Amino acid sequence: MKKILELIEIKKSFGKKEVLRGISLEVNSGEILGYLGPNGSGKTTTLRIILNALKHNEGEIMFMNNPIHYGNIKFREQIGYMPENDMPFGFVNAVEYLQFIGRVYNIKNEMLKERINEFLTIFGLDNERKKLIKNYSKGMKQKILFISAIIHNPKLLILDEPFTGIEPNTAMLMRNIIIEMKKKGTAIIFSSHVLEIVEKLADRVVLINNGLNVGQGLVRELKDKGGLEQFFSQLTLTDNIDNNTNRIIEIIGK
Amino acid sequence: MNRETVKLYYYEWLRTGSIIKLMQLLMVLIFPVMLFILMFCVPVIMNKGKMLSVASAGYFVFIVAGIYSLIYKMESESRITDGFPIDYIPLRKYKVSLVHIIFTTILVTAIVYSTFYAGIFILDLIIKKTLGFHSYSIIINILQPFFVGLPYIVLYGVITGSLLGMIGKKIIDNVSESMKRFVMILFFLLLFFTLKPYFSALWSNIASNNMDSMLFILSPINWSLIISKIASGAFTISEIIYSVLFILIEIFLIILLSFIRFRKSVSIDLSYSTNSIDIGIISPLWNIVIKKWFSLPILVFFVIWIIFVIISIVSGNALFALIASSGFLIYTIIALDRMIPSKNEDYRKLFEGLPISSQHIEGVFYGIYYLLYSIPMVLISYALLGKLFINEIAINVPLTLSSIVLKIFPTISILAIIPILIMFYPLLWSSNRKGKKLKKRTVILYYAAGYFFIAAISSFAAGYYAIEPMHNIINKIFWGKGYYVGKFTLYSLTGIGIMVHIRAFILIVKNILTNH
Repeated sequence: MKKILELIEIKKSFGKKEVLRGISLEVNSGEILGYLGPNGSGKTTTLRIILNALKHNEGEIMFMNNPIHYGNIKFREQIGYMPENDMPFGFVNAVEYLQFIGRVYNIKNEMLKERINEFLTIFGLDNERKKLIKNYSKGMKQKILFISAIIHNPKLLILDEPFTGIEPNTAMLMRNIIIEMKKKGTAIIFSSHVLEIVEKLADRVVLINNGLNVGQGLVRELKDKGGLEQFFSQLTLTDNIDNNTNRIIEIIGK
Repeated sequence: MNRETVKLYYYEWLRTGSIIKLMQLLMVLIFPVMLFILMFCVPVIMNKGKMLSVASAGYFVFIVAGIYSLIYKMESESRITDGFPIDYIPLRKYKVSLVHIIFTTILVTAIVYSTFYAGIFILDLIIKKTLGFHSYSIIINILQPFFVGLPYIVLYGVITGSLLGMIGKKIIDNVSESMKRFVMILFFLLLFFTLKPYFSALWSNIASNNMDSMLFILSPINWSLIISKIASGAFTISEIIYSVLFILIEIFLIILLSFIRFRKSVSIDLSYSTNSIDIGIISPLWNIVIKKWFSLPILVFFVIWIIFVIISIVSGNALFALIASSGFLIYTIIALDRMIPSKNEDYRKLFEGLPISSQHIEGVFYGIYYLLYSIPMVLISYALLGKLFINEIAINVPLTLSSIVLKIFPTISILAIIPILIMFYPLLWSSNRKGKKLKKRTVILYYAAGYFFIAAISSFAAGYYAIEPMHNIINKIFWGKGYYVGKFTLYSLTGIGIMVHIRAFILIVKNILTNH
């Protein structure tokens, strides 16, 4: 398997606050990496550093064996990114938005038209193509973001909570697309709080907490050791959930 | 609960954003200076009585109080009601409005009194010796009648500002984007009507071709004089009764408005033609920014407006020029409304994932701004201000570097206001590196304040050359160095403006030469 992305000892501080304290990870072609961590652990910062949208203080990023320096954005042409809780341009319709995305990725006009038509039909947005995106539901916007991330057949696909607001049938479709893309050699980083989905999709997981790698392993091995939920809580939980639950019930009952 | 609401207002007032804080500071600093100039310099220049300046100052206080109230109604209350789940806690909305009026009245009265006393005291120390004005105690004595009426003027300004802010907030909160723009135009037309006396006087001067008073009227510090002509001989019994009734009606409207909830957003979406054209030869981002700028109704408005501008230039007809210049104000508001992201828009993550550099994005915004905004503005300046304002000054000034700077200063610096904003928010449609995003109302306030500030400096500079007493006063202030202080200010602001434009043009050229 070819190494697509490698992060070596990445450190990042905002002022005096150290957000990443030496994160290392790698993802290979034809592999899905589950990237996990509690809120505020540094996941989104890592993803922004991978995209070179944020300058790291120390460490090195390698994309397809080439070092990525801050300011270089050409490599993004080979990346598909679906951000969490984001919105495509709301002031255009789906066709115009996807035309914009396609042209940014230099897809030829005829091919782009064909892809847009096919995708909109498959994702059930054909009748909504003339509607402004700002009037779409959350799930419809997620579909558009997913299409924009895969429309140029990227080498690396970064998905941050991709299934939020998606209805079950489309979620199944997206899951199958992700698996098929993996089979064709795309490297995928998948970040989510829904551990069941990560367990179903990912081959390997990396878990971070307080800006540090705290654990990693193959999903099939972790399943044998009690599953991903246990792995996650063992390495990140600081409070006793049962005690806290009882305390809250006691307070509101006074 | 009321006490808690007052606390909430107080904390929000302390927490206001940096631009609003800067505006507060500017107001606190500029207010006494402007008031002092109105009270003393205006009668000297105009050779008119004290009553005129007292009435002018009264109007000025009214405007300042109104703006203060408008800002807090739009900003603080908006954050209290939007960022706080006020709909889900047992607190009546009309109480929030009443707390706002009480809080703002106390705040503005305190600011007006303290800054005015302190301002006069400081200015008296600086200027008394050079201009030979009266001492502090004599000035206070002269202004005694004005001080008695001051709380009334402040309250009146606060309530009017609150009402306008309330209407503005209702519009912003309750109507959909395209309808909102339409209602905003109506709202600003309403403001035009509020200032109708000013525009009537402007019109009568245009009609009589009286260029000297035209120059005077265009100067913002003298707006108040026009109103004061209408307001002279104020405070008769009937007027007091009328004014009190007016205030009561305004309070009633504010309370009434706080009860009104739109059940459903008005949604009329005219804003997009589904068969829009993609211009293949320009980069995709240029296309998308043009699409955001020009919706179909705006395009129609733009074309009609350009026709008016061309007719006014070709025919020299004052009526067309006036319509064209009012049209430009509406175009400015619409353009800012279109280009500044709404509450729900933040495209940072989207931009960060695409192979487009932030410099390329910044270049596109500059390009569109110069193409679709600056060129029309220069045209309208030529159609109206060029004839009536700048050339008038030029007659009395020999062609020197100073006269050139004086001529180019207003256009260069006003055109630099938006590019400076873009410098701080290069992605414009998204939050900047510090996670802060531009807000529509902040930009409009910032733009209006910048415009006011530049127009005030231009008026002083023009007055230096055009009006003899003003010439003498400027020479005498700042311990006899007033001319150099003025020249330094004018040259440095023009220099900053030119540098901002050069930087923007370099980015536009880079943008055109590179694809992303």
